[in-house]
Amino acid sequence: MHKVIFNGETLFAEPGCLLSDVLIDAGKSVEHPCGGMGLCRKCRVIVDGKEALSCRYHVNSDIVVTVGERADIVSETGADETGKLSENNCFVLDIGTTMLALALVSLDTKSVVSVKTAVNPQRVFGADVISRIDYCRRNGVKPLQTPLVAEINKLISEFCIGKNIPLFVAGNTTMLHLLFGVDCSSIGVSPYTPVFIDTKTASADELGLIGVTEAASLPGISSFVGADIVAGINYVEMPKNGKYSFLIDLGTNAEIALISDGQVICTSAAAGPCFEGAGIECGMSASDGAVYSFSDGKAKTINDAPAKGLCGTGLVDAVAYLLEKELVDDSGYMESERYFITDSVFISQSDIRQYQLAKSAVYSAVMTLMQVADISFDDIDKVFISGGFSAKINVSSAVKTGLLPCAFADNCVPVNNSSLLGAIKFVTQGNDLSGIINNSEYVDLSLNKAFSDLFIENMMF
Amino acid sequence: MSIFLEIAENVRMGKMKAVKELVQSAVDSGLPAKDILNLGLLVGMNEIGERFKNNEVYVPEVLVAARAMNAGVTILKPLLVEGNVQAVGKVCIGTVRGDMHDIGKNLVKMMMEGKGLEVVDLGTDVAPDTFVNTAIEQDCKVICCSALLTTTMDEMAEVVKRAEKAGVRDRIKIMIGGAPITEEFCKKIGADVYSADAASAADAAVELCK
Repeated sequence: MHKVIFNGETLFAEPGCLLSDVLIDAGKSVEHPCGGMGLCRKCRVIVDGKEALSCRYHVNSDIVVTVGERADIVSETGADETGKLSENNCFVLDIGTTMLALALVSLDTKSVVSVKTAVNPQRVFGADVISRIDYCRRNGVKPLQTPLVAEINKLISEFCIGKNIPLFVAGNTTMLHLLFGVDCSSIGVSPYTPVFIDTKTASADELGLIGVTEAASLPGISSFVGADIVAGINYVEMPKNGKYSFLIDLGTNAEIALISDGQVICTSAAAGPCFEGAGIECGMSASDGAVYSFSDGKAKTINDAPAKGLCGTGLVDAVAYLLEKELVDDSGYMESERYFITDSVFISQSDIRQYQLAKSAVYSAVMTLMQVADISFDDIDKVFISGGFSAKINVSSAVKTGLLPCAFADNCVPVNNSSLLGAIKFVTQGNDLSGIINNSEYVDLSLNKAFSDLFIENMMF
Repeated sequence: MSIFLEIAENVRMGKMKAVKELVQSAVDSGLPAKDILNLGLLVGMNEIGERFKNNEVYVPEVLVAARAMNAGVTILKPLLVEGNVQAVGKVCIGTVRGDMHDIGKNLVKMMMEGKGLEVVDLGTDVAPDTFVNTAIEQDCKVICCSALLTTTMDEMAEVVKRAEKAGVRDRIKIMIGGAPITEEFCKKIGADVYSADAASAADAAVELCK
């Protein structure tokens, strides 16, 4: 056994094992966005004074490891909190790939008492759902379920309710599989079949939850359009004026639903991790010191901390700026290899290429759904943008960089955590979700010829 | 400007119509098909490949250039067959089982064709046995496997195993690539070559066919 002194704490490691495994086993929150492939370089730690990637470093002697403090990810749910507890209450939980949000809801006043958020502890296994599915396939569901349940229990205990109440859960299909301890491997390979998609319930004991009577999930539509989107649609409602709305959830997988009265056409586009700050050289999650806005050459950072990197919204702004100043041309070619937007934070040519893939995936998916529905921009009423990313996104930058069509410039509405809000609405108003589920059609983009042509075409700026 | 340079230039710019016309007039003026291919079309395509490798151009430019090149190749094909011009080598390519993503695979295919290789395209969701059997039946020197997902990349190990089982590992090489693939993974599963981008993959395939 070798000793690993991690930020002053002593851990033990089998000779030759990966440092990342030691840290994950000990529950340390060093994140591995690319799933430990050695590609993203975001798990940098200092080993005996030298920089190393924890997912590539084999422990072959006693070592001292240090890692800088991780700031919390800023997450706005958009819920109005009353602070007033009543007789009958329940919990509503949204399990995001990145964040967990737990709301205590009064069933008497039909309002939100308060909301607490935490980082999804599974992030140590990778930033996107595919890396979680892959980890589950290799190691079973337990190592993913256990830390998730522990984190949920921690959030529940912070509310100090003193009695057990029901828990309703929304989240993407993979996250719900992992909460219920169901193997999600089949979601990761074509034809991407989930084990369950309808409402599922389990007692608190079965799942190891403390402080709740039982957990019940909302229903989903498919492997990649889950209960989170169903809840989101429930929140924004089907338009009654004969028009169509879009609900766009911008994450590693961009889930997009085109909603009309009585019909939902939805899809999921692999946008890649750049909106979460991964896969970008100076990318980081939306925490202290992340540049979230950039205009007129000025960077704004979260909590006004010194600039450390770029989060998704900052990236959109920065790319828009480079295009406006013609430092990047229509093809995405950048004159210099790097462009510094602050003293230490830069955008590289390969970052621009990542962005081109992501924005084209989203834009082309939107266009594909409109083709399937055979409608034009005139038929679009509102465009709801959800996700942690949504509140701070600059719509004009999104349009300028081709992430969203120009026609959406004036009808975008940020809705924060539409999954949580829609699940709360479901619980308090007792909506029937079957109208959404039964009238939904899933478009598989990987089999769609129109999409692949659009995807190539829209990569240019 | 010589007509070869002009053809190369127009391939690079992705001008399909101009390439067609130029290739036709080169053929009409009696220039050998082999030279039109090697000194014109492929020169233009290779230049795009190099610039792609250096991140100076991106997927769309490569695709329009390839489309222009193929328009020229279509005109030359019957003449090349007549003149008994041999391809540099023959390879088969596909995206592994469970994976439907083909943009990366198509780029590699185009770059390989740009190097004068004959490419058998097996499409997406290709079973390990299909790779191996095709390579044997069609006498391919190289099997090229692509994967975008970490959940499907292990299929590549299966391709290597099947090739071993079929007893053809000494004469058929296996190349792998895709977003989650690394050199380390290539070594681990016992494949022959990992390439980080389409242009390098084409160069490597040419080497393997020698």
